[in-house]
Amino acid sequence: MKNGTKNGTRRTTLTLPINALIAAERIAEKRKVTLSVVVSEALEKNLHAEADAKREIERRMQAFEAGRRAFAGLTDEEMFLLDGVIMEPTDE
Amino acid sequence: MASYAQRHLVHVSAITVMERMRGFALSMQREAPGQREHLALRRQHYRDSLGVVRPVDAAVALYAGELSALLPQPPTPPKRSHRALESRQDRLFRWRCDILIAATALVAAMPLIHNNPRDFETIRMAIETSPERFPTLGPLNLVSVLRLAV
Repeated sequence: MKNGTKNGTRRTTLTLPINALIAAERIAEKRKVTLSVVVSEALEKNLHAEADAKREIERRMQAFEAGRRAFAGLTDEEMFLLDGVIMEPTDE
Repeated sequence: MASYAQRHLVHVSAITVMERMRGFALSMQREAPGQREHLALRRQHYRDSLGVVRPVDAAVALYAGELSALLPQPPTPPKRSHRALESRQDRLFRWRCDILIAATALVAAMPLIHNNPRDFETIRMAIETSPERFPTLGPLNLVSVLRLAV
């Protein structure tokens, strides 16, 4: 045991909203697990969601930058063609 | 536009992808062989930029059919510039692509980001004035790309 840790866990004291605590206790009772299990699962899930959201924003910005590079600096005529407008020379 | 892309997952119609890829392919055909690399790189950037690509499924086809019957002809004439002209056939093809893109956004209940206000406004109005032909769908929300650029 180092710094009070045991099997990758550490005892601590938290102050939680009463409603959230009551809900967590009910889940623990229903699933026949400890309150610590329910709270740590919820915490891990939230932390993963936050990391996923951050990765998603990075992915979106990379996609946006790729889109900008695809069309940056094109002339109107070149952009027409990429917009699906196909113009042929006239004899006029 | 960047902040919009950061806040929203942008979906793209498969029809838009087809139009763009056709544009890249035609541009590359028109370039001399040695000049094609920059277009190939741009095309790769475009492919990298694609998020969710929405297919033309049965519902999209059904409502695109309704719209095509309501609006058989494009509301604006073929494009023309100083010495070049779009054929009527190409204009009609582009109009039907716009109808499929609008139907995709309508079915997905997502706002449609566009750079073609006259065509898409015509489609939006047709949906609004014939709601019985688009039950449980609509309105079609349009967002101009120019507004996002501000």
